Amino acid sequence: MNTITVDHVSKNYRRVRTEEGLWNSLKSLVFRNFETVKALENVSFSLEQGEMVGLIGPNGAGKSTLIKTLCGLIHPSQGTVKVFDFKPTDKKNAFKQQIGVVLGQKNQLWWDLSPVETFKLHQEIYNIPEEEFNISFQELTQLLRVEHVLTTPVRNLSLGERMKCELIASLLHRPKILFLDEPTIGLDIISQKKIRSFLKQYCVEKKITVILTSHYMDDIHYLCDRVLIMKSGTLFYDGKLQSIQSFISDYKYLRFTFKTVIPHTINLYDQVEEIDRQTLVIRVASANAKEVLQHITSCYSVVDYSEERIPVQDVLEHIFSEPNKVSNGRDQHEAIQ
Amino acid sequence: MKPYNKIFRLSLQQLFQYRMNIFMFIIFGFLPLLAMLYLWITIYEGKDTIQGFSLQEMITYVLLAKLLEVLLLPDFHWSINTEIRKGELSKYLVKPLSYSRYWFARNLAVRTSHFVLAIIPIVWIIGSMKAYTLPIQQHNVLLFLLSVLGSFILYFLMYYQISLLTIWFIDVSSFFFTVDILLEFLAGTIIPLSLLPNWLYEILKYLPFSYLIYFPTSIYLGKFLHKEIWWGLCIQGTWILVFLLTSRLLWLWGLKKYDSVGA
Repeated sequence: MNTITVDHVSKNYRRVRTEEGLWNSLKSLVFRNFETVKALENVSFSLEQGEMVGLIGPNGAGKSTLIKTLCGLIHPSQGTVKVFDFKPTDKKNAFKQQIGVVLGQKNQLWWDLSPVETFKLHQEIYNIPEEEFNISFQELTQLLRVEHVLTTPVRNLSLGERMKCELIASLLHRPKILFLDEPTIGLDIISQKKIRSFLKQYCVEKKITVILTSHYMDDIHYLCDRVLIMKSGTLFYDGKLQSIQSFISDYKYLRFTFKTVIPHTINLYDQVEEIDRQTLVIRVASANAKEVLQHITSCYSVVDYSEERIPVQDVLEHIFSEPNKVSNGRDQHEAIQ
Repeated sequence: MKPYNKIFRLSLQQLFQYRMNIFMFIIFGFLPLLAMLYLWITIYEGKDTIQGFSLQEMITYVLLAKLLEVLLLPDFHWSINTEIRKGELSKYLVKPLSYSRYWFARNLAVRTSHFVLAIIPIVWIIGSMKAYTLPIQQHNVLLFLLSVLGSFILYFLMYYQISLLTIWFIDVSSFFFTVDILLEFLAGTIIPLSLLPNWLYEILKYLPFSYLIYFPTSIYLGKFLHKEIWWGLCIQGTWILVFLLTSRLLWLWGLKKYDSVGA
């Protein structure tokens, strides 16, 4: 049985449009112009229990809207969402017991009190039996190494410590699904890594379904076997992160290291991706790769060269920056597989 | 009810970290009152009663009305306003928790902290105005407390509904100020409502506002017969029921709106 089933979900909402100028501002006092924003368009997918899925896409692609739809904060305009046997928008308490939500930019801990107080409040809110609470509490605080800050007021914690406590607050009731909206935003690399490895260890062990959005590809790379790529409200891609490299398989990177400074006479071909004194990375059409390689190695003194597939990060950049053809993500997806 | 009990206790804990702030707030809240008292003393020079109020009754009224306001008037609408504007409603909605009960518990905590911190200034003011204040008649004590409880709930529900309007109108601060001022007048915090023109007074008797301050204060002063008090309590109770219903509707309606703007 699927944990989450999203079936042809669309979400439109209205946004007030204000035009420039004083006259238009005055006019908008009486007449309001609305424009319809298509936040989600015909999105379908399903997740099984224990899957860890990365939700990626540029700002405004519909990631947050999708997460809010799954938590029941937003009613889909069309289509249905099913989480276990619940319709999230019914907002049943039994449903809320099953989910944990961490919004990286919001704060659920009580600012002036120590994190323990919020944890104890959550024990009451989620009705967690004392014994179960103690076990979870011990386990989580030890894994995240926050024992030393538990009695410090939240306002005095570092961002990393706070984020760890946010995670604990969202996991104490042992949710089956965890929604993480940019949990590592603004954290230093060490804290990022700690949180990442904690999530991997804990969620795999407890078979928690995780839906994660992050702008840090490392998070996604490390945690998620599967990614959903959103682009202008549509689900552009659903599959393994590695496989998106074949998306632009008609291009390759060629990396050259020259013996001396890169000669001025060199024809730079299609596109330079990286250049410094002695190394040059260019993007070429796969069909021409051989020819270009031969030409450069024969005409200039090249110390070393290699052919590379285009790295994931660059593929994503390419996908996001492509003009918004209202592509049918599913067709593309099937074409790859 | 357990989580709300915990919320109440946590709020108190949090509030007492800022006890000095609250204490100052209360002290300076009483300052304009002194001016009012001296104004009334001057007005009464050469007169025994005004509209059936003796000087002692008037002073007691003004003092008690202000006191009840300090203890009952909510200020959580500002917090809800900020929360909704920042889109922080979401963090409550994903938990098995009632937003209105959450704020009821928090409001109760703030009111309690004010009560505790106001005791000293209250005792001091009553002590220094002893010649001018009247005690309550014993047979009215229970009815008085009952009407204060009703007022507390009524105040909460009115301000809760006002707060929810933030969902529709993003910036409501001037509206909030207007409501605060209007309510202070209509509730009878500034002057006893019976001093107003009769037709207005007759209308106000059926509106919820007078049941915030004027009603309990008048019970204290023994201005009402028992029959009138019970009748008043019925009207107060009816408004509470009406507002329970409307705040529920407003909440459900508001959630829809919150949804449509993309939460």
